[in-house]
Amino acid sequence: MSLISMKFILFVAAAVAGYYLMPKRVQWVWLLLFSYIYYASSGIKLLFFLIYSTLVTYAAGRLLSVVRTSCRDKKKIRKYGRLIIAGGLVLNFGMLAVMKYTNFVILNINSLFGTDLDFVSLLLPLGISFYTFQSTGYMLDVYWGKCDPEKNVLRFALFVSFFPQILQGPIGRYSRLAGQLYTSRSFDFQRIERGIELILWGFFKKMVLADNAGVFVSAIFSDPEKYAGLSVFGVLGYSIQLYGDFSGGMDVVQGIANLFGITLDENFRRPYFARSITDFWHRWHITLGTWMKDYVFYPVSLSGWMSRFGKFAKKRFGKSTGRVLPICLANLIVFLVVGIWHGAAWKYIVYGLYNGMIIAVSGLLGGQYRRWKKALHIAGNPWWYQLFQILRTFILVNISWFFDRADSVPQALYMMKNAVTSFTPSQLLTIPVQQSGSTAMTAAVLVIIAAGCTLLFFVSILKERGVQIRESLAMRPLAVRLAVFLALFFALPCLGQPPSLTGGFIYAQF
Amino acid sequence: MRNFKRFAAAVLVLAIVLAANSVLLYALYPYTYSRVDIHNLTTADHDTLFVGSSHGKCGFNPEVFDSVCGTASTNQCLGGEYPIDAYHLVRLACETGHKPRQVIYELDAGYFVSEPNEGADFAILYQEFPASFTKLRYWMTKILDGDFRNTLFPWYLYRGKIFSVKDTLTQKAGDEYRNYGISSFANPAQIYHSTGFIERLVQPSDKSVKDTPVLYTGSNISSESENYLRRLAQFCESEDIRLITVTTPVPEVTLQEYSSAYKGADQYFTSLCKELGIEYYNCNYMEEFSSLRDLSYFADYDGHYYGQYANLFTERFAKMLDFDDSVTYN
Amino acid sequence: MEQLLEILEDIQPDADYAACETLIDDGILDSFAILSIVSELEDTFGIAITPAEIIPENFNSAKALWAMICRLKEEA
Repeated sequence: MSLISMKFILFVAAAVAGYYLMPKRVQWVWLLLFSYIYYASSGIKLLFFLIYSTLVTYAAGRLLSVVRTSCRDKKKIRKYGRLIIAGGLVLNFGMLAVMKYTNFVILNINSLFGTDLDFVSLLLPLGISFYTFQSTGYMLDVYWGKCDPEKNVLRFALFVSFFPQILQGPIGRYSRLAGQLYTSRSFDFQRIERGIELILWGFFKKMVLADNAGVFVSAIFSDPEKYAGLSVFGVLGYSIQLYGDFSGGMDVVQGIANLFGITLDENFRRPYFARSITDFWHRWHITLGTWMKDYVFYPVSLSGWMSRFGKFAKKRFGKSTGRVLPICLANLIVFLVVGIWHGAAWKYIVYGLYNGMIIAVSGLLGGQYRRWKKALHIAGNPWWYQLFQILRTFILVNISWFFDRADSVPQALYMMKNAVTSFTPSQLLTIPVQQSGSTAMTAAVLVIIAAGCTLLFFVSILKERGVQIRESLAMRPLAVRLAVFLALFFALPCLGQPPSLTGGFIYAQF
Repeated sequence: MRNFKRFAAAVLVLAIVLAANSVLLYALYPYTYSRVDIHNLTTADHDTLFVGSSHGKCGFNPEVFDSVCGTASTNQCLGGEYPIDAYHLVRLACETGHKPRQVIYELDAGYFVSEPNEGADFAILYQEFPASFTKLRYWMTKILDGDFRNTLFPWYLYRGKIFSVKDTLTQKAGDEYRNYGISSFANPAQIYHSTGFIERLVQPSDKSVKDTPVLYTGSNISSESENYLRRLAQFCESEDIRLITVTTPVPEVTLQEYSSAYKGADQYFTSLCKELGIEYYNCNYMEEFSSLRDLSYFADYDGHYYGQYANLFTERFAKMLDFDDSVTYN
Repeated sequence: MEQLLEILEDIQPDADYAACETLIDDGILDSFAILSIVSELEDTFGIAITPAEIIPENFNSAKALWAMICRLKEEA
């Protein structure tokens, strides 16, 4: 059930109506029921994977608490704890790896050894990356004593499957999300109004910005030779499309959760205003970044073999470099994982490592930067220096988008070359934006994209300055709110692109 | 009091949306021959319904067919008509009391290896359906799965018609629209007949571009399309309607160029129809039609007949069908 | 405590470590800095810091860091 389908809209309406009509005690059961119906609607068989992941992590949590309460010996607790967590990790990620990467492994074995192994046809359970990560995070939190294990398996099942977020995140944390899911609430008109408002804003970003930009992006990336002079527009369009699509989807998801009085973790914070790649990852797909930080980066950095490597590095390269080197290595590992998470293809691995390299290099050169700044007499953070940082980061991010969007690494490199050597903006007007292949509306759509970006830009600046836009809108008279509401509502059909040329949400494939 | 105000606001929003929608739908949604097709389907009796894609629309001339068989038939094919649409067309005819005796379904493999595309023709038949259970069923099975804008803003796929609003309004106020006239559908490239047939005319630009047809590959079958052909077969059986399926000829050059794809599609349809117990004729592999596959008879490589060759094809097809066993005509 | 402040100064200058209580919440220390601090603390004070300790409450101020160091020393 796609987020943009009428069926989904009605499904949400039914879920919300039922939620507030239910006796308060069982409101969470209602959410669980709808979450399972939602997941089953993409295929009854897929429920197996969801239930599997739920049971594995639930059992791990329970076992950990049993060991802790029944064992006295601290060493034994540690030993059993490690065994349990290792088992849980292998079972949980093993399934994800098999479902997502089997064919990639076969492909590479075939090309390396010239074998002719057949691909296996595996169905990819929707959202498996997201709920595997979410449930694994819970398991590790219990292991580290950051949260208490859930006793009720049905409650826990809701935490893993809560339907708004199961397809494309945000990846929730047990300590922040679970309590909210089980709280009972009474109907509140304002909550509904604000939820719908956010949903509309999300659809606006998706349909008006992402989908319109997407038409140009598909055209340019599907024929890089013909549109060589548009490479730079292709990648800029993709940065609009990806942001509008993913953050718009997040707003829809967050808005739906808000309808139930639930607040999910924020996943985007004006990423294109980032001043470094590190900063970018603190603003883009935030829940994936913090997940990686807490459950991969720190554990790897603090592991025994890493600290041995650190001691060796300090001896070999001196104190300050030696200290940073293991962190850089851990960071590269994280981004390798991020790359692999995005998909089973080499271009994603390149994409991940590219990000990791930049962060590692800037980590290693941190002291150097400070010296350069001093030498250039740049004191503090003047506005032009910040602007420079933002533009520099934006360009670095766009380079990474080439890898993300292009069909292959060679295509990405080819288009990057064109982006600097060839430039024919007028060619944009030859790209058809209608199914009929007509270019009559192309200029109009370009204007819509530009206007939409301008609006988004100003909204982002206000937010960056700490203005609470939605709060101040809520204080306005009803007539103003109605006007905003209707304007957003009618922008979707008037300015948005129909799905015939674009399709569903990009991140729903992970 | 506060809540009352809010509910009043919600009702107001709803009213504004509904009013704007009906105005916009009236002003933007154009007059198309689908309106005439559906009108014919639901107001007159026909022995034979032709359903299928644009190949059928340009290939089967009901006048010729009826002159051979002595029947009354209507061509309900349409470019972009998927099995799900054909199924609901047949049901609609039955629900409105105009049950046909036979349905001739033109099968195009391209429609069995793709899903309905949410372009301008996605909801066109749905829009024209009169209020009925079939329409409700159609909404639930097709429109409900589509973009919510199809339901909440039924005019949105036609927003591009904003520049011809004046023409649309004048047309809709006129007699032609009220009386289901067809003169406005004629243009230098084609003439629409009141039987639903489209007569393609020779154009200098024809065949200047060579489009690649959507091809059967053996692994890209749409389960939804197959499913609705099954349902159509079941429905026809339960209603005692004879269901005949046919693949119309494509130019010999196209057939040669994509021979394995066309052969594969032939095998697929042959075995599927055998399983469903319905007749299937693939004119690409039948001796009777081998002389009707010259490229010059078609408006394009994809296989849309020019009017005069469509007549020849229809005649030959009508003669070939063996009517005696299951259908009698007055 | 003096030693701790020195380490912090060395790893990331330009912050008022004696007074600041929001080192993490305000993004003064990023993950690179945190790990550098951890590595130095482990060497200097002979403690082992596990991932479970890496929470904002332990890193938001020099005082909190010092409390963690003392606790881990006792446990060791």
